[in-house]
Amino acid sequence: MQRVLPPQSDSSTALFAIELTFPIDEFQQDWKQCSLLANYIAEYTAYQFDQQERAENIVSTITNELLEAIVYLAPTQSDLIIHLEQLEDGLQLKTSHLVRENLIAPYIKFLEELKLGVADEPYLNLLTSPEPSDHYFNQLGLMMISHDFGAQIVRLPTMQPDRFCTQLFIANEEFQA
Amino acid sequence: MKHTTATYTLNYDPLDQQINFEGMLRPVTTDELTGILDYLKQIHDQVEGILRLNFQRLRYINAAGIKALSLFIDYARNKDALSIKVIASSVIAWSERVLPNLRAVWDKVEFSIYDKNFYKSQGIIEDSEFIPLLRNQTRILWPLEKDVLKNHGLKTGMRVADICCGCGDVPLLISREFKPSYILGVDHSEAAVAYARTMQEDFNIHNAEFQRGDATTLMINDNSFDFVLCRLSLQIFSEPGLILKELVRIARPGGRIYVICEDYDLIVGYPESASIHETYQRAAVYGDQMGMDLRSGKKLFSMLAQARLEEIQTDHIMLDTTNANREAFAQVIESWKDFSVNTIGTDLNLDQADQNTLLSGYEAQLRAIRSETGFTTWGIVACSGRKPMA
Repeated sequence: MQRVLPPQSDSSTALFAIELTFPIDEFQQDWKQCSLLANYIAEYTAYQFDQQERAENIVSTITNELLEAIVYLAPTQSDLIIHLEQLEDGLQLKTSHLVRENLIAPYIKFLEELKLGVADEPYLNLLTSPEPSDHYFNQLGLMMISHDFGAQIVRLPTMQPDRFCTQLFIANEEFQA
Repeated sequence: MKHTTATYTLNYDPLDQQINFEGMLRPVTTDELTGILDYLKQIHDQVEGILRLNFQRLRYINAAGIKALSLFIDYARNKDALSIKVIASSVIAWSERVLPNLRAVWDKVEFSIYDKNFYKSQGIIEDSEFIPLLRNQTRILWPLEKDVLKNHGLKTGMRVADICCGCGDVPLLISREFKPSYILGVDHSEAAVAYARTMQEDFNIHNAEFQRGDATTLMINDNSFDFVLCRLSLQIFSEPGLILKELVRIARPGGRIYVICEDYDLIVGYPESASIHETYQRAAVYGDQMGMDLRSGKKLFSMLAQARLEEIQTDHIMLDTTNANREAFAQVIESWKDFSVNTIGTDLNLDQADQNTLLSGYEAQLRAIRSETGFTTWGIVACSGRKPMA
């Protein structure tokens, strides 16, 4: 389901906004859907940018990593809401989703660490070392978009205590050559 | 030797000792990751010297794909038997950001961006200041060239691609004049593509699209266009054959590839013939030093024949003071004068005497254009051929 929101419906500074809702099972049963959706969002959004090919490539890359992470995190039979806005100073992607019981604490801890920035060493170590098998949720992907694309990823408070809102922000400068 | 899935291909080319990555490398399962890594290791163990990893055609990668590459570089580091060269493209944004990390895994990995300085005059040609020159050229060339295009088989309803389309004015004129079903313009210059998109809005044309791309590695499917153009561009590349190969690849079997190049040997003028001749001969030599072949028109037939195109057809587009608007023609020569003397002259550090010699021929030609009895030409060779059916 897709809604293209009129500007200023959600945020007074949004130049463009789009919201999509999906059952998470679609992605868990067919992982390629993450890539398809990331490409769709990227193509749709790129027209807002001067350097379209560049924007499309970056938006698809970061969206795909975030989606892969959430699809690992979310329990089956839950839903995923994606809200994307182009703001004056960058692109903001908010996802509203549930997190499986055993991953809540590791995910919160990971996001707290990510907020402090990704240093070269742990990221580069993770590139060649085994990832955690018990609490895996595409940590490398989230670190990659933070380290290489300047994505700021934070958890926002929500009205429903069991729902997570993961917000990703990319500043306009990151879309420039 | 290939490793192929539905979304990506890793193809080893033994002639270049290069693995070409194509498509979208977004593995999800451990099996997929292992398959990639095993393939890379297998190639590694067969090669001596340098192994190149070329990512010019890899549109996307995910973190798992990067992990597979990192593990491979780690493998190569432990073996320490080869040098690894990683080739990225500025057209593929992720590759510039992510691939340099492979050097951190092993500092012997060499990283390069293929299309930065990939032709000598790139800085000049891709600058927004070059656009007025392109617009002036089109202003006088289009009235003659549209008939040539018709003669070479461009028709209503075709799918058309203009590779190295510059500021996009010609694709938009084609769209208006020939009504193709779709026309795609590709250029490597960000400034030119931005200009083309703005002009498309001004022209209110909906069946055209412009994209930034590398003409030697187009992100376009094989066999997808009926008519493929490349105008006034092959002459600026030191390896025009690489572009021609791509033009042929994207044309459908039976489709036509149309190229035009100028040839400074075809430029004459009167009076002051000797001065005009001297200037263009010198400009061609300076062009050589900048990696451009400004006398390449005469070579097009051979190039297309060597590419095994069929039904090759050639035409001269001979602009002169009798068939072009004199003032518009003068503006083109003014642009060339400025480009040649100031831009190229500065780039090549020409001394004042050489600059003056160059200048005098352009000024002689301008006098010929602006005199009612003067005569001068701008000669271009147009050549097209049909892609074989099988």
